[in-house]
Amino acid sequence: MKLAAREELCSGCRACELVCSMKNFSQPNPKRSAVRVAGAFPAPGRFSIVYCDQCGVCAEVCPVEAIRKVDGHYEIDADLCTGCMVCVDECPHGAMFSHPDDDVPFKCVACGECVAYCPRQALVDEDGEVAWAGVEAKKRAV
Amino acid sequence: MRVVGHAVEFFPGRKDRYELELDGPTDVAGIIERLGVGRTLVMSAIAGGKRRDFDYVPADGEEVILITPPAGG
Amino acid sequence: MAETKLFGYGGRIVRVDLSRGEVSIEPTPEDLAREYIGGRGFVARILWDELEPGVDPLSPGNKVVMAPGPLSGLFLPGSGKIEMGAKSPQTGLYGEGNMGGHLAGELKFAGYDALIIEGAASEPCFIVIDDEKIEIRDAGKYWGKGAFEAEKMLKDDLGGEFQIATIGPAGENMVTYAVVSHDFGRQCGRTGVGAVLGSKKVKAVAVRGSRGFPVADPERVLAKGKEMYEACFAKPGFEEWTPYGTAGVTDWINEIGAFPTKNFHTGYFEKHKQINGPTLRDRILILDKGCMGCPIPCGKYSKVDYKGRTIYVEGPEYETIALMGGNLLIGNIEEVAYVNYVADELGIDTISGGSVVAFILECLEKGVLTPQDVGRDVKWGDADGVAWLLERIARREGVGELVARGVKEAAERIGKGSERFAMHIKGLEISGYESRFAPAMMLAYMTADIGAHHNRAWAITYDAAVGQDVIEGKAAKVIELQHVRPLFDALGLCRLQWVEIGFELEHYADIFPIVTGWDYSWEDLLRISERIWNLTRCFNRRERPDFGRAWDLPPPRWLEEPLPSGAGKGRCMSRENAEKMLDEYYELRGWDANGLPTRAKLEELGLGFVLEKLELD
Repeated sequence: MKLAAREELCSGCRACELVCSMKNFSQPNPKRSAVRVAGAFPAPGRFSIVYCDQCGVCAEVCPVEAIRKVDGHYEIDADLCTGCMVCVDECPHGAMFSHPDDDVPFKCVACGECVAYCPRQALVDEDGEVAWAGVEAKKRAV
Repeated sequence: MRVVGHAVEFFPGRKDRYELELDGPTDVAGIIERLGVGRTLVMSAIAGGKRRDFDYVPADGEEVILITPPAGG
Repeated sequence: MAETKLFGYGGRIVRVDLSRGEVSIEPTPEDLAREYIGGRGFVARILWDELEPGVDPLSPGNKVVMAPGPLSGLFLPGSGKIEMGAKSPQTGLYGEGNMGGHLAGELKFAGYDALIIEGAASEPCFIVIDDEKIEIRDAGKYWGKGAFEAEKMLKDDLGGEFQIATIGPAGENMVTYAVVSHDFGRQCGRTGVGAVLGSKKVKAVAVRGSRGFPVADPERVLAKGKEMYEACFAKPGFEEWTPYGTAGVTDWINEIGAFPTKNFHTGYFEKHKQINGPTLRDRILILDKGCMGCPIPCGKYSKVDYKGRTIYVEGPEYETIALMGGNLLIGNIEEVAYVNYVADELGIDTISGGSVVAFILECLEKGVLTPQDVGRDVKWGDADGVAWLLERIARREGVGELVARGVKEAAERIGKGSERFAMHIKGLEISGYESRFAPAMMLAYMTADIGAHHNRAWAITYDAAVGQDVIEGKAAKVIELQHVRPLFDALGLCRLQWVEIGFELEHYADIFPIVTGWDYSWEDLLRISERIWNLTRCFNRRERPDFGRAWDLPPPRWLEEPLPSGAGKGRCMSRENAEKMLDEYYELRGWDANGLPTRAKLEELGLGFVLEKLELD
């Protein structure tokens, strides 16, 4: 699963932030989402999406090698992580996050839920493994 | 013929699907009349994936979707 | 005593006392949550409990209550609505509005179920809520700025993560139809909530939250949320309705003769196609913009090059197309968008503002006001003149001062028969549905608690289905709608998924118990909605001892002037039929002949406490 964004389609609804935090942290909380939407208003009047493209820079810079590639995406091993947050500073996309209550940062683990549930299909899986949930839903409805 | 939207409840038998046998080419307005439903209970019509005016005449076997007015704002 | 954990709730209520400069936090009372749910329920109950009867709405004694609901901020369609209410400075009655955007969720994520603003500051201020850190800060640099302008400045100063609500100059100057603005295009509080904040010298509220809130069964809530989105994705309206949003109903409303045209002179506007949904999308739209969690973004963010200025506006949506388009005879989408923008930046409700401007134009046309009185000879369809009037209103200059408290008071001051075309009920200007050929809709307007507003019941399709000339038998539908629609306002949700694309109500009934852990049926929830309905009716009676049937009557134009054109040509409501509809309505509601809840009805709904502060016959 490799995330890509078509920002011009984004409506700013942030369903992606809500499903990400529900799926990965069992609570509705955009501050625990690994994908983020930002708006540029009043002008030019559009949204941009911060997301992890699994570039691996975080793994390179981690001083204790706590970030490793698993099934095509990068994951943090919480047991090894020292909470130094260098990865947060070094992520070229701003897609490594830390929450004030946690010692360990968090990132996208390529679960694909945001792709499935973005109502605008602004987030897609470049590998084509995860489909938009509407495809099957529409088939079932007919 | 597929009817979608809230006003489905006011259509004959409260059904949302109808098959109609027509004597000849009939426009959408005429079809709605054949269903026995007030014209104002249909807000727009779609056929062949496009919005159509009420004088559009569907082809034999073509599916027409009638969009009823919303339940509000 | 150990507090029971509430699921679906932030768990705390913030109280900001501006007179003392103090902030306090209380736990959200469990019985308040169980019996009133949240959102509108919290607003109504808190205002009933805490306001002194007869309080001056623009005095420190009034309070503004802002409340999301238990379903706000969740992964489910339309989870973005917040309610804001206060005693209305325009009507003197219960005042409340709701808006989308992202403020409802953010307040929940910060851990709060309501913000109560009381007292008044001596200098312009704004309130910042950053999880547990809450401050009242100086707003000198933002005071006087437009609603969007101030939001942009605050986002730049505080950070883009903050969700901001602002008032514009109209609120600062306490124009009684000033609203609260948010997210560069959403507004609420058309009964003058913006004015109440202005009287307290509150320019803005800024919120950032990182705490999240608990739900009873996270796994099932996530699964149910997915099911709800999938159900929306599969609806034909998901693709059909979304491109036009609420503007998409413009042509049909004209077809059935219900489009406000020339100060509700008639119900059909010849130029409606030039201000409809397809025209909007074709000519000015740049982005479909959505509130939190919404799969069918109704926000039509637009860009217009208007006489050398580039302006951005989220709109115009249907109500503005009606009240500032047809109602002012502006038959050009760029011009409607422009006056929409002007009203939004000033922080003026486009519905009431459009109606007030239409009232002035009719006064000019009839010679009741002269161009000298107004300061400019503004014509119907004159967008620049309309913009000029809106500025005068926001600053309460000249004619602006005369109309700053709405059409009812303006007509009382002007006299000369202008009361006959002041289009309000209970002092609140009528919104986008000319109802002389839609009796159920007229009844909806007559009986809405805050005055003539369609939020509570939208019955036009019902009128079209059952017969636009039929008077009898319509009350039941209006009552049903008045329980279902405001329930969304208590849950903290947007109703448009249900209303516009037929998303089934059962979904909400399914998710409520797994979020809150409370075994409430849909009927239980509707019963709470009926409770809130009766409470606000009592609030109105408590504020105005003469409140009753006479307040529920339509305006003179709707009783005396048959529609001159359109599908409803020749139709009019009669006093007799209006009274008949009210008879039927009151009976079904269990109210007395004067339209007041009986003791029995109050006891039945758990509102017996009302009788401690209110005498009913």
